[in-house]
Amino acid sequence: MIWHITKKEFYQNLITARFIVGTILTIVLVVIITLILIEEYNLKNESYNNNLQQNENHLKDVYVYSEIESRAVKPPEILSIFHGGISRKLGNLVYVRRQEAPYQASDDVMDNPLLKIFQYVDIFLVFKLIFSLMALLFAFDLFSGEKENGTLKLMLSSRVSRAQLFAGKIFGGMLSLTLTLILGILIHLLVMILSPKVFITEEIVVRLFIILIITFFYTASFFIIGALVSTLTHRSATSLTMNLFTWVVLVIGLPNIANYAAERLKPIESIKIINEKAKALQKEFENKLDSYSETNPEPPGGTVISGSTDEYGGYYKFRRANLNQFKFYKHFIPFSENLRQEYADKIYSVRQNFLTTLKSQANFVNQSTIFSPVRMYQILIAIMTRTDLENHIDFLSQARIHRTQMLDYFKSKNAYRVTRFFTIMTEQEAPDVTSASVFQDGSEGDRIWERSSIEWEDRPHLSLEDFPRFIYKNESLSRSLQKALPVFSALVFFNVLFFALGFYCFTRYDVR
Amino acid sequence: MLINLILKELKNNLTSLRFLLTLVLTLIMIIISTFIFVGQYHEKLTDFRELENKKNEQLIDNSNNLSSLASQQQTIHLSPTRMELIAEGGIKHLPKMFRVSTFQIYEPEFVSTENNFMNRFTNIDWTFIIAFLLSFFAILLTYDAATGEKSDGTLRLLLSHSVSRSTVISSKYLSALITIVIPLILGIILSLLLAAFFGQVAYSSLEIAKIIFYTIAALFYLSIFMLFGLLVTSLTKNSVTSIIILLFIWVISAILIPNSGGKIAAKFFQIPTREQIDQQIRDKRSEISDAHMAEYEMTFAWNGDPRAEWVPYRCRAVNAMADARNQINHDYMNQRINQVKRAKSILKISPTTVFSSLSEQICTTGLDHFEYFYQQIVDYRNQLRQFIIETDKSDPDSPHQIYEWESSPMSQKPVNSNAIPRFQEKELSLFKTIQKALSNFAILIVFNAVLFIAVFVAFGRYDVR
Repeated sequence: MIWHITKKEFYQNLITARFIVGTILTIVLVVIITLILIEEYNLKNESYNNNLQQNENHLKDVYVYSEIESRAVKPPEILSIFHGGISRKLGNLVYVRRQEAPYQASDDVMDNPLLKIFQYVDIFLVFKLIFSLMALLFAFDLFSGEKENGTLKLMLSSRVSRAQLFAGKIFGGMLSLTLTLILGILIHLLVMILSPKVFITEEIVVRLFIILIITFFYTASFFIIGALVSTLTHRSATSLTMNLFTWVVLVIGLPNIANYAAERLKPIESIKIINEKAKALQKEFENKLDSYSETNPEPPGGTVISGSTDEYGGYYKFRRANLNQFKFYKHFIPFSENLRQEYADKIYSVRQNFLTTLKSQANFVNQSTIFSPVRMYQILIAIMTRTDLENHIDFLSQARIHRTQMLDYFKSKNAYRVTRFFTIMTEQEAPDVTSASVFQDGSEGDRIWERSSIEWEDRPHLSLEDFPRFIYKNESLSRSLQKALPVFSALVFFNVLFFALGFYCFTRYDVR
Repeated sequence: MLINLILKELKNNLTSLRFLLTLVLTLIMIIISTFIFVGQYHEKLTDFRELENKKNEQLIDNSNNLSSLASQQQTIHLSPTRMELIAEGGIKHLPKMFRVSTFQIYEPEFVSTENNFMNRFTNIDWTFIIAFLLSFFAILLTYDAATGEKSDGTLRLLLSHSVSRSTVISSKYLSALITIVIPLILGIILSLLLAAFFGQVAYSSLEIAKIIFYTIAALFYLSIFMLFGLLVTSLTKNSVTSIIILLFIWVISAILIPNSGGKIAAKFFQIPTREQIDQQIRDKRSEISDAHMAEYEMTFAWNGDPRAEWVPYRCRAVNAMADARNQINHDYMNQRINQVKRAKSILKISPTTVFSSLSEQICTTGLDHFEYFYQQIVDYRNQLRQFIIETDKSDPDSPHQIYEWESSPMSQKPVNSNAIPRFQEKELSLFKTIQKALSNFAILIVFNAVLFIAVFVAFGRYDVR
């Protein structure tokens, strides 16, 4: 019997204006927005490859260990076409250097920053708005409408039980909505498959299928809210009004207010204070270096490659150095590099505390409104499209692991103890002169100094074939599912609860 | 007759559930938005005053030497404005300060002050409440104006009397308009009172005048959605079809179109990147330096003597470079501002974009505030430069060569610290505001006029059976 009612409802819905208008609109919006976002994805992909290339170019052009830096780049996520998520604005490029543990990423696709005043449109936004509205518009007159037509009395006078009628009507309505939903996702997928530069893997298809299921439950939750309101009212017009107000509160009002509440209730330290703390630590580090230089002054002389030496930043590139300098740097560099690691860790722990508070503020927003299907939907989609906050944080920690690999590489090469750290000149070639004699034209020292001149360009680069390259490890499907499971169960529970509530109200509904 | 009909409709509207919910929700949102604003405003004001004092102290410190005053970098902050209660305009995503010296305006830092780990959200201000909530309610008030009465059978009855169709539709339009005015005006008054009595934020008469202008604009905006409602209801046979078409129109015009500006700008109005501009500056610089090298080969060897005979050549070369750089940077800033503006102008197919940019123009907030602020910074730099040149002229000991590389070839005398021009942000006069907002206002009126005619035609042909 339920099946009969479901079928009847389904066929009836298919020919209504709301179904036709809603479906056509969904399809048109999905096609337009997917096409625009694919273009954006292609740009990001180009920039990703460009970054990889520049990283290789840099590693091929390295003469001394101290100038090595590596780029950790996160490849663009294909599913970000569906939902840009939070990682869209957090950047995808980290410069991994000895002197700093990565704590934030920069955005390599630099466009006009003033454009930030615009918000972002993606498929998720369209689905969030359209499916919730469609669900309410399908459900608001489920019972009140039939009552107004007088058909509800008629139906219940036959041998249909209220339970069957209730379930049948809800399944029928949801079936027609699911049709639109499947069409929407399929067309999104189709547009992506047809575009030459987007490579759809099986995992993407599976993830889109899961997104489909999540969206189904999201739509269902609004449908059931609509049905519940319908069983509580006796006129369709009233039901519609109440439903639409619920929609405004859930979709427009609540998410915005929750952010403010988080800002008020979980205030964060100003970034300025954090920057000052980090700066103070950096200063402390520089002072320690200075005090070392005071007790063991650096011997004068030597020429650096212009613009390429930054003692505090740990970057030395000597064109020529004299023997005394070789002796000095052999002791200074192990000392300074150890200190540098120590302070990099200290500064990072300050930054990390700050990041934790940022994260807990963001989580507060999610937790405080977790009862709203809109929030659950947003969390779940972000997880499934791998554009949630945790993914970004994971990217940063992968970049930090890459930095550790880089430091290990230095250790394995004994880089801090070899002169190749700061110059290409060998100790044997180093002239045994002091600066005083060098600058006397025609003196012995000057002649030795002149003879010691070497051409860097003729010497070989450092061979960095075995230097570790950053390879981004994508979150696996099982990990995503594991993360999504609690919220997904909450969404399903929401559905079951409201279904039960709706059913209870319907059993007491006055059908006259 | 019209009056009678309006009164009847009005009574119907005011006793309806939708009106009650509209009123309650609007007032709740207004209260929330006012309290949020007041808290933020006072915080911003305290910070701003602190920074102002710091800036002043630095100016006084540097007034003992004209040359150090000339090269001093002042950090000038955007002043918080009370009008942000009305329209915030995304100012939190724009740079809030410029560093300025006599020689240049530095590239501002584009750092958002919000927690990046949180999802983006719209500021809850009056414009948000009007553009999203009240426009939604405007649709809810009118979607069944024709279809509802038709299904009740009262429309036939009504038209069988000696009432013209135009009277009926006018009465429906006007009564809906009056209905929406109530939460609008009540909300605005409540917000102003709350701000004044609980938040100690009082508005000047100029600001009140602007707010009145804003309210009129808001009414024209809401009227557009009512006319949309009346048009669609006159073109459809039942209320459900009418509401679904209207809600889709609303979603597209109030949410999707206004937010797609970033994509439109990136696609249709491309501008050079910062790196390209930096390259341009470097090219220009070497071009100028080559030209001046030929003129006097010693130009770039500085030996510390401010009165050396070639210092004027050096001064000319350096200033030429600085002027070229400043011009390129200035043009680039304008390009960026114009890119956003152009994207917005395409989005004006949606009345919501028109209204939100109109409200930013009236309040001088958001991008308009940033642009106006930048213009004032440019003026201020010229003023400061003029002041430095004049003061330097009055010093007989100075070699009068003012340029940014060295400070010794100009006056080293102390300056009267009270005479130094201070940056003071100006408020736009009412006349200028209206002048600026006029084109957007005209668009709103055109929207209204076109829809109004369409509604009359559609309802005139409506099949009431």
